[in-house]
Amino acid sequence: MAVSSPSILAWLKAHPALRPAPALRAERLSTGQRPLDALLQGGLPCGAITEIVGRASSGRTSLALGAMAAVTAAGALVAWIDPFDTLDPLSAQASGVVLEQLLWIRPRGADAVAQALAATGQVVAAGGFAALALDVAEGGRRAPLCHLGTWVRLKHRLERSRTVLLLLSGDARAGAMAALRLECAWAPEVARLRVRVTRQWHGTPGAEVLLPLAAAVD
Amino acid sequence: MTRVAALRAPTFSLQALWRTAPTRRDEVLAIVGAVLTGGGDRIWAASPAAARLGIRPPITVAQARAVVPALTVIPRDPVLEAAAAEVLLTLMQHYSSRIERETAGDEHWLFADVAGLDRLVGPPAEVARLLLCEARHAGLVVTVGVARTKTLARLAADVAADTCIVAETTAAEQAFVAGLPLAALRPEPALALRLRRFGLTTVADLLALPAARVGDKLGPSGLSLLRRARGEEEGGGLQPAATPVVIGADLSLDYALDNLEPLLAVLDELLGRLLVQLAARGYLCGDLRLSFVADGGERFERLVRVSAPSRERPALLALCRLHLSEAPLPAPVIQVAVVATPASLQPVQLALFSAPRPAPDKLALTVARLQALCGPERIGAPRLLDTYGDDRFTLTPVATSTRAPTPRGEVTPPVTSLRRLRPPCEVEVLVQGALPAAIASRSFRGSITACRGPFRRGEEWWQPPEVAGPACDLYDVELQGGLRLRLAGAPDKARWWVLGSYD
Repeated sequence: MAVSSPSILAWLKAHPALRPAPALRAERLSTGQRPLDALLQGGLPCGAITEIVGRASSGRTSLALGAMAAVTAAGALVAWIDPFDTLDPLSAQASGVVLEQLLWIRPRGADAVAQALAATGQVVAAGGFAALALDVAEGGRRAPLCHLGTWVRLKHRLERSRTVLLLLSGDARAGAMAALRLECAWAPEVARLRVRVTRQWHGTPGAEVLLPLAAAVD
Repeated sequence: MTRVAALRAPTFSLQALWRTAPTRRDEVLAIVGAVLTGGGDRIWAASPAAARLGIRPPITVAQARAVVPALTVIPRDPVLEAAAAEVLLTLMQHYSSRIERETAGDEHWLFADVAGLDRLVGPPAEVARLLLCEARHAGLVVTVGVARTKTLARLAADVAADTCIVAETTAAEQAFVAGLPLAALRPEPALALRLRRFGLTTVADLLALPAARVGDKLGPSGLSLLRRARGEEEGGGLQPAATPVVIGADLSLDYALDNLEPLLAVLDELLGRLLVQLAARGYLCGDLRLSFVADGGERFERLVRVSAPSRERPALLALCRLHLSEAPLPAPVIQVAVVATPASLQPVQLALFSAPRPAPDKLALTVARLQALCGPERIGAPRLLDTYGDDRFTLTPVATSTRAPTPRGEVTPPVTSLRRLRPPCEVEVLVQGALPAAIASRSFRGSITACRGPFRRGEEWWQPPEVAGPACDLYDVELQGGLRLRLAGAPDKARWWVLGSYD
């Protein structure tokens, strides 16, 4: 059968042999947003790295806090590792996060990012945390966050602990180690948060969803 | 059946001294009150050599020096006595958790409930022998009495040369008490004189009197003495008190340390000793109090907060390192002491159908490690403070108990969240028509395309202005590139800050 070159990729993606078997599909954790959960086949993959990327004011933090709210509402513990000390507890509470269930880790000093990575490893190794956010969105594009080997080790630890790692950043930092990458952007024409799936192990990337964004609280 | 052991340590201030300086045992010395102020001080205790030369408490130092000019007089050392008392308490705690402490003059007493130790340790005689041996091994001479009541045990320890066991039968108790001289009951001096005038010399003489007549003739103090003679409990018997657990370790050095690394090696050793003691008692390590004595005698104290109790030595050492590197010691130190606050781990019942959580001990260990990494004040669950102030929160320990899932009704959209700038970034703002029109700084620059505000914020707006502190006006602005910021301006619009960006 002759297949034209532009459609080879689409044909390969649609081929049943290349779809992951149901048993291999990762357990999911709800993002708290039904349209996004539907797009992600249930939510964020457990035991894997999910990157939430976007420019400043694109809605990354709002989306991450919404997911954390859903997790804490289910009675689970979450951690927020914040090397740039940017988390606003009032916004977290307004998003629905149960603050008692949130372990906020604020590394400091010149090596705050290195401390944050070490803290990430320790929280993942401890187990029992349903989700963990590593917020390096203020880090910009200056330097790689860490060596590839660190991401590989973290990925293997996550697989054992079944913890969801949300990596908030300006652009992709975990590379091939990320199971899911969501790109956020503010769509002013419809006044909605546009969430686009740009990388997905178990699914087809490229899909997007528009989410309403509630106003900030004072 | 109750059984009480009484342990008596006579001349306790001297014993506490001899315990650390055994060579002074044969010296002609006397101990006075905690501070030596002059010749008018009264002698508190005298060594056997001094007693043989006629030094008896409570004569004054001047009188004693008149008798023995070469008498060495030293003040009481409460630290040594506390350490010796702690040793005796630890010995007693091996046999009982119900312990009462009492100090009478220069005697230190411990009473403990030792009932039910027959199968675990042995008969009362064996318990008394072990207590005596262990105290001697620790450098303290004591006498031990075991009896059915505290009063009888006290009498037994008081008259014993080393140990005295009073059998738990009425006949044996009566025989024991009856053979004692009246002085063994320690009557008040006036009462002792009256009893002597009545011709009463032994406890048997007193017991032979009818109780009503004793009350008539000798009053309440006589009746109290009679009750003691009968072995009846006074003041409710054994009154075990919750003894504060103090777990510490110290080290004196041959030379002063002026560097952090060798000091941490010393602290590591002390922490190891502390953790052994804590583990033996089933405690975790809470806050650590570090005491240092400088080469010149100056003392420094440091409190290392451990908000998640732990028994992990590297994590505790890392906390000490963090604390001491932030606030270095001002002088080289020659003595180091560490006292741990014992902490218990709250047991938590995890539920089968609730979300999985880390076990409390594992969570505490993780938090302790994270504290060692980032600092104890940088870890915790945020709690908002009940105030109108901006960015006011505190960090509390994260919840260890399970929490039922919260029903979330209909799905709510994500809420626009603020990313804080700590500290706020000062910017220059161009104001047009009372509203900000453009901002300029190293990090933020551009014209403002949309603006909401002002929202006046004052922390305690109901207070007079001089008490309430400065108020500010908040604005939510959007810059030309789409960046949305929260701006704060002084009411006179002279200074502006970016508090954070919406994301």
